Amino acid sequence: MMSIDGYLEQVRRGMAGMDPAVQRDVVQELRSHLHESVAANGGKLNAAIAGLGDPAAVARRYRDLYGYGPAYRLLFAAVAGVLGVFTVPVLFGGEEVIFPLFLSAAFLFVEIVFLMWVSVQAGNRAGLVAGAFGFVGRIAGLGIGAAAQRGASVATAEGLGLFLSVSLLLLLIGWLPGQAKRAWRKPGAEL
Amino acid sequence: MPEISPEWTAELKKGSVQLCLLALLAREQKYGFQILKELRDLSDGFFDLKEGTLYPALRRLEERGFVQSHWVEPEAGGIPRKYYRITEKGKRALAEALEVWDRMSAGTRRVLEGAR
Repeated sequence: MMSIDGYLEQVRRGMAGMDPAVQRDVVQELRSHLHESVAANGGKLNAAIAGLGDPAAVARRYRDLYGYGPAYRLLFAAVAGVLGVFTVPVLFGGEEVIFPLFLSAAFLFVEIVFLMWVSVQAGNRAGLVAGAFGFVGRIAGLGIGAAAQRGASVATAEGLGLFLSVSLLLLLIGWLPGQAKRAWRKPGAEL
Repeated sequence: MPEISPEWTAELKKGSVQLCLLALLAREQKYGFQILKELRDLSDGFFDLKEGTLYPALRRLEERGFVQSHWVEPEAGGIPRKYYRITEKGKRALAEALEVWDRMSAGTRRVLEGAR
């Protein structure tokens, strides 16, 4: 037998990452409902809880509606920014060319997968913001690389062109998957 | 074993439940449990909405700007209730949806008449 608090805790856990104020409001509303429901059905707590259904499914409906809260979206953006710094080959520069290039490429791969994940999970706007942070991270990485090499030529014009293209690509990768998800989702029967 | 699929009935319900929710809120503000009960009773059990579906559905209407909500402390003590009331935008949406609904139901009725 589950208590009201136990049930609500499971719903709350399913909403992790959403705006905390919204989470509190949802839990409070469901608590109010459960009290109402128990009072109306002659004190049968189990029946009241069963009426609301699987807590994970209930939480998912709210998550679909509200998505991640600002704190998590900022966190995603920050991670994308830090990853972005390490995607710059000159950071690992020096004479070693093959390995540093490989390392930055590995970071680039992780960054791309991460941005796609953010875009799908948190929406195309959060993805775009994370992509922008990744972009800024790359600029910062280039700056750090240039500073470390004390004015030595950081990149050729060709290299800079590639650098900028990849950086801009991050914006697109952050935006596109979420946008595609929205476009392909079966339109609901919404007013 | 019925011939028609349960999905068809479910789609019919899904397509009309938002309209019913707005209609229930057209005259006065109500709280979730009350809406649930009225919907069930007035529809003679046809809209036996899962409770875990109703609350997110109300918030979806709120996100669309069709309803607003606020907490009310009961005078006699006890647990607060979250009340929903229709907005001006919601009233316009309701009027538009009602017009579509009336045309559809009148049209279908005339067409279906021949089959009874």
